[in-house]
Amino acid sequence: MLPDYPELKRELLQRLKLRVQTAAVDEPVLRDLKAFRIHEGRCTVLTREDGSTQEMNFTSPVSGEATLRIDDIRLKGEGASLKAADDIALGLQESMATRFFETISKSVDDVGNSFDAKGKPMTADMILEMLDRMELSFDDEGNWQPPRIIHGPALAATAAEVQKQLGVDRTLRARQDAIVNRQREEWRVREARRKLVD
Amino acid sequence: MYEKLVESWLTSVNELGYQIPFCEVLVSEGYTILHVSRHGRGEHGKDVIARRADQALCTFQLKGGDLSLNGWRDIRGEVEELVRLPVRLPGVREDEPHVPHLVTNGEIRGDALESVKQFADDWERKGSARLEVWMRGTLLKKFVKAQGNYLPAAVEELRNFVDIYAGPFDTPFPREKLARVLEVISGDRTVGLSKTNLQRAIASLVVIVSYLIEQFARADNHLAAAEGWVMTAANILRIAERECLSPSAYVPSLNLVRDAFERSLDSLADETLGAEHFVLSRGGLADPMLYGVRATQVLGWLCYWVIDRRWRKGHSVNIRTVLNVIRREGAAMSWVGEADWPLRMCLAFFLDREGYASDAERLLQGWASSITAASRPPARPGVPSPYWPQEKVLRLRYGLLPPTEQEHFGHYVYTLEQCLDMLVRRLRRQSVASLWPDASRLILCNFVPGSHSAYFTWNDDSGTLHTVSPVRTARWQDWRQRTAVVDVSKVPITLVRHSEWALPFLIVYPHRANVVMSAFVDALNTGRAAVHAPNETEAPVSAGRKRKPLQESSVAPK
Repeated sequence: MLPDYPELKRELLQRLKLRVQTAAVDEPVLRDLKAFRIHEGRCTVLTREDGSTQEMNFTSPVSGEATLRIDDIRLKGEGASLKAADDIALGLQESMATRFFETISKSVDDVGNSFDAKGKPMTADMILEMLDRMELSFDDEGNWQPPRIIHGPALAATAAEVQKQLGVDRTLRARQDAIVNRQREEWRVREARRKLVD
Repeated sequence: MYEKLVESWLTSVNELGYQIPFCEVLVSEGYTILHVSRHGRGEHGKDVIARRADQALCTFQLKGGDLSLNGWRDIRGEVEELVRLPVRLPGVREDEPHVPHLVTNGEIRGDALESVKQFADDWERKGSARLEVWMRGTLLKKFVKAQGNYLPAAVEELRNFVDIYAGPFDTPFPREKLARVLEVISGDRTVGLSKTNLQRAIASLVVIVSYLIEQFARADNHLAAAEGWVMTAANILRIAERECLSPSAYVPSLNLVRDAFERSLDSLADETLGAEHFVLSRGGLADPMLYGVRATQVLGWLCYWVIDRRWRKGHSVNIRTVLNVIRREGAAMSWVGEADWPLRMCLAFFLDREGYASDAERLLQGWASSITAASRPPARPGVPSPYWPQEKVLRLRYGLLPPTEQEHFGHYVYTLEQCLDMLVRRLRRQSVASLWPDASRLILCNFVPGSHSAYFTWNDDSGTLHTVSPVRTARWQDWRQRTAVVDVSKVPITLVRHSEWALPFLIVYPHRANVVMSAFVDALNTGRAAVHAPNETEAPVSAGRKRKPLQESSVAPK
């Protein structure tokens, strides 16, 4: 057997694992997601407040790949390890983002909250319609927690323009406030129902 | 290699250390164990009384180490009692002859052997049966034969086995590691075997695990030894549950394991009740950082010991001393994660049974409110789940856990539902009403193993994690109805049959204390729910409910 440093390798692998874990979620959508670890079982059943359920199976784990070339190992040393870890992280990131949007889409479709713009460009009206259709979130004091809008790079300019309109156009602003206020009242009613009755 | 390992173990233990595995060896040879002396010398020199497969009554006196002529002179009186006095045991006629055995894990040296033979001849002439002597060589052969082919063979299991065998023995019990060793035997290797082969496998399992657990017992690490025996029982029940074994096939082994478990627990209780504090001088500077968690574990097990000894078996317990210890150390208790839930239940059951029901309820209410407050979305960090043993939580708390092992707990909780259910069973409507607005914001997690036998595994891939967003408006009447009855068809039948194992099983496997299991032990220990057994001709025995009048003021730790 050729000489090796198995103990040191184990420790270095822990460091590389942490690098992968951190980099894999270093992406605008995934970064803010809270991860919940499932310690055993390959299946989870989510039961919503209305009694509807959604089953999720974890039979196909997300994965990332990297190739370590002999020459890279010879010539790049530590750099080869770091590059491979980053490649794995990137693969994981893409897989997780894809899985995330698939799951969200399915959930939204299931509860009938999906909105298809049918290829039309994004407008402030569309955003308001979406806000009206979804259940908005509020903090304990009733302050609205606006949802995050996620879009592709091609829509960046349009999205910024729509956001600006919603901020300055009084009519649009009033419509948005009306939606938020109505939903805040609905939220208050819902929250007031958090109690134990006969 | 294994023979050397067994020999090394056998020569290093005293007579108490090899008593249980020795009994298991007898079981594997077809003996029926009638009596095992619990502490020290057995009555009339008989440590173990058993009936051989041919129905001959046999008695055994166990000795540790080599026996010289002087040593033989010291014990000759006891051996004479073994040989010449009759067996006094319910169900055995006093005039029934018995075959006496002197057993030692050492050798009888020098002139001692000749002297033993002469006395054996003399006693035989006077009408007693011939004294048989089993020394190290005989014992070693019997142990090796009894463990069969079940010792770890694959590299990974062998590594786990040797890791535990090599120690250290003054640490918390390496539960996950032992589970990996035991589950190889109780898993695929025993699927579909004949009843006889399953009996052999169970006997092997007990003998093999004895090599590991007795080392913790010898180091006076009684809690670790007790936990090891609980895991052994869990793996016997796993085989019995999966293979639908009749009790006669596994109960003799399970009873021996129970004896060993109770012996460890008795020692822990003795040490706890005799101590003025739980401070350890070794590493004393850091002891205050861990004292609360150690106190929680010790007091939780102490309460279980009282429940088992006083309420299940009807033995006497100096309850005043127990209460004094709980009062003294209760304030120090520190609950660090949801793995503490079964220990919390033990305390609540103990207080409940001893007439301090309102203290028990306060303890439950405290659990529910602290978990709810710590997990409140969106900002609270949550509580470590039952999958986090206390030591790991402490490592996290003191910054000693590698970042890769850290985890976000968020507003997912595993033990809130069962705690609220217990408050509902105790008619604490006001408490539940005040807790519900915040509790209803959390996600209630409940893991249900894929099969009843999977309950006894450390990790079950076939199970399902149920995560529930509760309804905002809870209905008291519905809740009362739902929690009033426990459907035991959802509980492993072997745990229903051997319900004395249920609570210790949950303490050692806290991630199995799901909604139905928590309800089951609540029903067993306090009788606050009916136990419904649709497929059982005989309903499980509840511990009964004998309430004593309230004698003292509040004892519950905060």
